[in-house]
Amino acid sequence: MIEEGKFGVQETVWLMVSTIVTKVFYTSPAQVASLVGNVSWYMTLISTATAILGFTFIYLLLKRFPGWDIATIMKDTLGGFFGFVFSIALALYLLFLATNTLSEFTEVAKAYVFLLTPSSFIIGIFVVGILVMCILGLETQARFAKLAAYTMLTGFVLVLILGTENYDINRLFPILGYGADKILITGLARSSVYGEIVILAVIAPSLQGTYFVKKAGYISLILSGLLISLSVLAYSLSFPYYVAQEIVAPMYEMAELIDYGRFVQRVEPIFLFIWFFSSFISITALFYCFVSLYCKIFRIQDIRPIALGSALILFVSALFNMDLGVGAVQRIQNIRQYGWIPPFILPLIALIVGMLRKRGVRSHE
Amino acid sequence: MGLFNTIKKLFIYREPLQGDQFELLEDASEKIGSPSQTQQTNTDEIINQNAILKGATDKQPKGKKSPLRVEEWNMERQQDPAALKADTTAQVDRISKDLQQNRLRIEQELNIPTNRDAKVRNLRIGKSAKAFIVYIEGMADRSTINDFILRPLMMGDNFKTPQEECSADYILENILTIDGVTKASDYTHTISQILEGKTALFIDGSEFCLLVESRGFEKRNVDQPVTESVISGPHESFIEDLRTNLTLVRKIVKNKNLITEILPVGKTNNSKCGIMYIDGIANKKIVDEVKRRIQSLDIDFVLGDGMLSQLIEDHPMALFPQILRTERPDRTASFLMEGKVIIISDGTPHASIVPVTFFHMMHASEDSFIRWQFGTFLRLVRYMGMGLAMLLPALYIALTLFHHEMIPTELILAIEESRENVPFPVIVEILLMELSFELIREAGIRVPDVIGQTLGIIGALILGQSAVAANLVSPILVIIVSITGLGSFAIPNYDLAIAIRIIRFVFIALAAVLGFYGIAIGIFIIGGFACSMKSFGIPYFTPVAPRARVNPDIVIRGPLWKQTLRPDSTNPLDKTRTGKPVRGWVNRRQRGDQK
Repeated sequence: MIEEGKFGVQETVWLMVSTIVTKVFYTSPAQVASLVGNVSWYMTLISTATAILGFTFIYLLLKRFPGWDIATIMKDTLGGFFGFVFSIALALYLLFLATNTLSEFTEVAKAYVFLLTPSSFIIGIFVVGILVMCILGLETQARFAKLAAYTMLTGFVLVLILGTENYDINRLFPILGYGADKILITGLARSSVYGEIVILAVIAPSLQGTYFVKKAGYISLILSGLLISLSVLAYSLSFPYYVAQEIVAPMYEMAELIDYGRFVQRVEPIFLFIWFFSSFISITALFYCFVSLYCKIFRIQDIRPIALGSALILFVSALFNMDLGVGAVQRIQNIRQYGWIPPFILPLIALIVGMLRKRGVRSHE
Repeated sequence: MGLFNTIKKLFIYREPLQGDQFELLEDASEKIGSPSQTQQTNTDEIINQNAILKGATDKQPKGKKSPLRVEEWNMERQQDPAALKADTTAQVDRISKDLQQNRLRIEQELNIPTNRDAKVRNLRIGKSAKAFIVYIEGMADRSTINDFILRPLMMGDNFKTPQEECSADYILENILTIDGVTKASDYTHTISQILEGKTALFIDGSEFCLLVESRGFEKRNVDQPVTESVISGPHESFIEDLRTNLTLVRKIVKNKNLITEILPVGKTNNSKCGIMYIDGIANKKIVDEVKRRIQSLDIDFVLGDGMLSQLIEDHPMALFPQILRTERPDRTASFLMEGKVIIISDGTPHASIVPVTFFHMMHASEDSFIRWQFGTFLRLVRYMGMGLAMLLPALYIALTLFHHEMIPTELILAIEESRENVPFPVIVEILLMELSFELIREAGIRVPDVIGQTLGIIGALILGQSAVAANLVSPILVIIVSITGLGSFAIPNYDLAIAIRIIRFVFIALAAVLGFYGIAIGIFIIGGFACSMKSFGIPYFTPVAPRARVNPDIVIRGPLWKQTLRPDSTNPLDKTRTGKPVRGWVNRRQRGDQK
């Protein structure tokens, strides 16, 4: 068994929140604006509620097998073959998310900050960082997420507060955007934004028990929902919805517009740190969970050689992205549209089969 | 061949080493709230142990194996070469009744007469019995030897019937008017005590010698701290003598449960270190771990805590220090009260404290002696200083090379104007200045005090006026380097300050390559390494990551009366340090009381 260490609810919550919320720095808010107009700030709350429901299935599954990880649970409930297929699908889903977030990060960074730096260099440095953190382990990642959370949260709130001079309440109207049906359907489908919560099923043995998985999961989802909603609300207040659809990195643009006196202006490079840290934590967590899940599926005891090989795959696949348009419009949109299936449906199937087959472990909690 | 092996190792997979890393985990026995409960637990343990022993005794008659006869036992012993060797060694090491034989052995062991420091003095006790004393000149106090050892022994008036009363026991009880006289029956112990400054008295016909306390070597007086000076608070610091240092701590913590254990370190220099902890507060697991690490050392020379710390720390390859060193007895005492373990070594004026966290490194002794608002302010200044020392040059490079847009127009014009005549790129300019600064700082420690001022003048000229006048650096860079230097001086822990100075160069390189992105990745990786570290089983960033119950005393120094707990991370046996209420004189009206 891989030694992944133990950590508490707070570390887990900040690891999950950083992993989920990092999307607000990229193209997702613009995509939502194009789908539902100016009401994305409360549409995301519907997604949060859906994700909470989805996480309940994950929690119920983990509750039947306290102290087990998702790969072992799936093997036990679905049998060797189907368990393997489901686990590997989940692992690939995590790798896919990591790859896409990394390529999205690179493209946005190139668009705004490093215009002339080659993508391979940006990705290469990033992958080195991920690899180091991966080898240092999950416990380290969780602790770093907790430490960085104070800085990130302060910066995030500062950008929202300093941006108030550009807010216009009229931009929130009409309050139903493109229509209630669109809000509901998009809200349900985009629960995939919170799909990273499935990471908890991979790292469950590192928490002190199923109760803490439940606590960490629900707190993470609620907090992430609130932060994303706040961010999108500020974004909707700052830009008219037809402009918002065109912006690649909304938070960055909001930071760029901050202008107080002669000295407090153009503070977006400071904001870069929040964006970078959030992306580092997010992609590292996704990548680590892929490697961890892979090792668990194939019962590999040492994570290092797999991490090294997988880092190479991550590097190459992140480079596949042709340009921001292709990345944002096609891949990201597809992930958001159908990305809820692997994290929520696969565990649900395992839960149902497990209940029918009466599989489970007697809990001592 | 070495290079070939290194390259080979890069490509060949090796399984990770399964080290027995110490982790301080909480278990049921540690959820103890007060010393009385601790005592109860100890009593229970004793009862349990007695029960086990009783059980073992009860079971003995039922054993199938009959007891061996003496002859059989001797035969078995003879067949065991290790036991035989041990027996022989013990016999050889035993002090003989023959005075001449003892003298020859002592001379052989102490290399007399080649070794001129070791002195042997023959005498007749009470003008009759033959004897000799051995001591190391300089380590033993000559007046003690003359007045309290030789004089009483050689004066015949002290012995009424000399022939009968010259036994070692009689001398020990009636003649030597000195405290600290012990008996020793083996050479190994006797030699080690002589080397520490005691005087050994060998008497003809006695199969043990008397070790008389006569240590009197030169030592420095207790002085003011050099690196941890304060305005408010005590002005005492440790010195190089172990015994004095232990006393300085005990003078502050007058508690019967303050335990001092002495352990040997260094095989050849026979140095010693003292481990101090408060029984009933410090976690026994940490104490045992400290002892285990020190006792496992197999090295010929250890001089002081600087060397010892390097040998017992958890992550010797990491830049950040994991053991806190202080030269202040008052600070040491405050750590003792928190349940920490103190290691004081012979030879250096410092105490090592374990386990510690990053936040301890940023605290100073003065914080507790001034009002909490002032303490908090000073701590914030220190954190700011650390941030500047680590990142300011890197941020300057990133701003000027990658993110000009962030600099206000007037400022960027001023920077460009000042840099106009400088032929070097910013990275060369900053490295030039930083290296000059490091050079001056290092040279400043080495130069004699009398030419210290000259160095200051040279430094000011090189770093300031001349470098700018020669168009080697821009004036703004002088300001950047000066602020960086000031920031590093604000870090209260010397080891951490050096680590920050080194890390600064890493950030400069990263900023030159990738601007803020480089700095961020540097923080991510270095922060990751720091987060993965532990100090004697305690994560380095406790109590923030992971979170642990703690007083308001991490970054903000809360009021003293709010600091009611001992840090939970070390699992102290007694978790509370105050009563309720702390300030009994404050009459708080409870909710619902009549007005």
